[in-house]
Amino acid sequence: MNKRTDIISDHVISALGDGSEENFKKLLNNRSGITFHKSGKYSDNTLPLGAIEEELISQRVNGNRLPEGYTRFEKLCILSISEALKGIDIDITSEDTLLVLSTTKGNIDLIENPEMHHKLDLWYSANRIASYFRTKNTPKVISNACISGVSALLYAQWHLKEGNYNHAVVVGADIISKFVVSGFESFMSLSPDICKPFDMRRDGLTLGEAAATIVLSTERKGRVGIVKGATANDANHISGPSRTGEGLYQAIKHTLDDDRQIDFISAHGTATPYNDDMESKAFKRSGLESTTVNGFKAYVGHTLGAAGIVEVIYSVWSMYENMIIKTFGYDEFGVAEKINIADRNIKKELKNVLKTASGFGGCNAAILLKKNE
Amino acid sequence: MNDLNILNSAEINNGKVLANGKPVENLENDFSIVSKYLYKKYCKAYIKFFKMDSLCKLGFLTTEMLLKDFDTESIGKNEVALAIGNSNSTKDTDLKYYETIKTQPSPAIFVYTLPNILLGEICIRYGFKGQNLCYISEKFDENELYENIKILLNNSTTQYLISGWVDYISETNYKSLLLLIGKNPKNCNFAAQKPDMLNKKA
Repeated sequence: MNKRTDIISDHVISALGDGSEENFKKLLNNRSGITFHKSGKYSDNTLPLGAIEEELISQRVNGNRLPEGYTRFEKLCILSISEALKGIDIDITSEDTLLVLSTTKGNIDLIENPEMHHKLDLWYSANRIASYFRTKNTPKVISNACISGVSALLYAQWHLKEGNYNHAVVVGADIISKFVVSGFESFMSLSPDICKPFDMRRDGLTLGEAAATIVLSTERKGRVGIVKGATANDANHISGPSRTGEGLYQAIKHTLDDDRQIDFISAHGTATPYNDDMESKAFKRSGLESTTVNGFKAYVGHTLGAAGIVEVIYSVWSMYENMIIKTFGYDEFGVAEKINIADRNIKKELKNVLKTASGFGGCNAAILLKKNE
Repeated sequence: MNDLNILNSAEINNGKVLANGKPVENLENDFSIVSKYLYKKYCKAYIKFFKMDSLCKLGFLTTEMLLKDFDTESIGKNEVALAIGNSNSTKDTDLKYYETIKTQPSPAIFVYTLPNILLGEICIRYGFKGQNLCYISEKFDENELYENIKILLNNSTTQYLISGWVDYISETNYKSLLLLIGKNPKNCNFAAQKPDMLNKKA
């Protein structure tokens, strides 16, 4: 039960580029990957989006000699997993290895074509990805709105701690589609500009897309491990965050021991007025008001089912470099409770890091990362 | 299965309704008729029910049957968790929402295009604030169900767990099974027959 679950490899492909190192280099330089897209494909409006450059995908498709017949979503997952598996001694085809896919909508871009509707099933994509890698185990799919990524990591960690598997490959992905863009537009929750997490003038989120993979192991050692985590429901509203931050407070309470010193929090920080206020309340209630908080959403956009994995990877690299990354888009403090937002890159020894996420359905999640001595 | 502490079970399978493995209703197949009937007969007035999509209605009604004789006010609601899976995610509602994009995208439908909203609706109804796990599998798999129950109970402070399968394909094709599991064996009172969806030989 007390097995150490270490992060032994990771990979991100996002609006910031291909590879965790490439992504983190741009984070260090405070460069956003979000660009403005003229009306047409996704929306009647010009919108800022964190889109992946098609060139990057085709380069990788050619480099990996990926056969035809995979959707854009599946390709991204396969490419990210392939890169994460490079240079580590893990057999993805082994019975000891679990494959978990975290996504909210998978191949939803194909809904426009009725002949493709059989590909909308999330397990269909998971099976396609698994059969590409010839895994023995049936892949698992976690679909828990915007906490999917953190939830999938916890799910994988529980399996590893139980001894059901020795390794887990956890991939999170979602792509930009007219379906999702129109939905968030109908909620009036998209900002016309690059989103501004925790800022006084924040006015909505920016959507993005990404595929990201974390390989967890109880047998191989990594520099950072997952200690524990929890999810909790607000039991308040299906599309609005709790006014008191109840669910997030509960998730944090179940994740942290009383005496643990947290060096930094990677928050959800969607930059919608209500979400960021809610998070500030939950952090305050948890006694974390002086802990430095950042938000990564203005670098790559909100990547939904990928977000938890992407942001855990960014947090892990922050721990390697002992550098808290500036909250891009943040300028002037403007959330309900006084909390400590990273308004610049901050050099600091990072031993214990908390990652949180919240989403539709009232779900919240927290996960604690620890640097191994 | 045998080491699980199942307190209650409820199933809705294309018009057939079972409580603790025993048939309690045998209705027509159409979900719109079944859902109206079950709501009237088994639910206290709950206006939010009418805003839900079919998947959430199916999960909600199954939960109402499951908790019918269970005093939810007597338990610590922060320690009630949900782990629910299905195969079709929210496909029925996705297609309905997609139709609205062509004219006026509907936020009221869009919000139901995430499968975990089902868990959220149940949590809101009863005030449950524990862990939420929402998963998608090709088929209902009894072993996966037990595995999820086990890892959740072993890795959290969960005292009660609502776990099972809620899958809505169409008006005439839908299936649910929910189990109420207690962590503490002394509360066990599951003397009923095994649910239909579980392998009776196991």
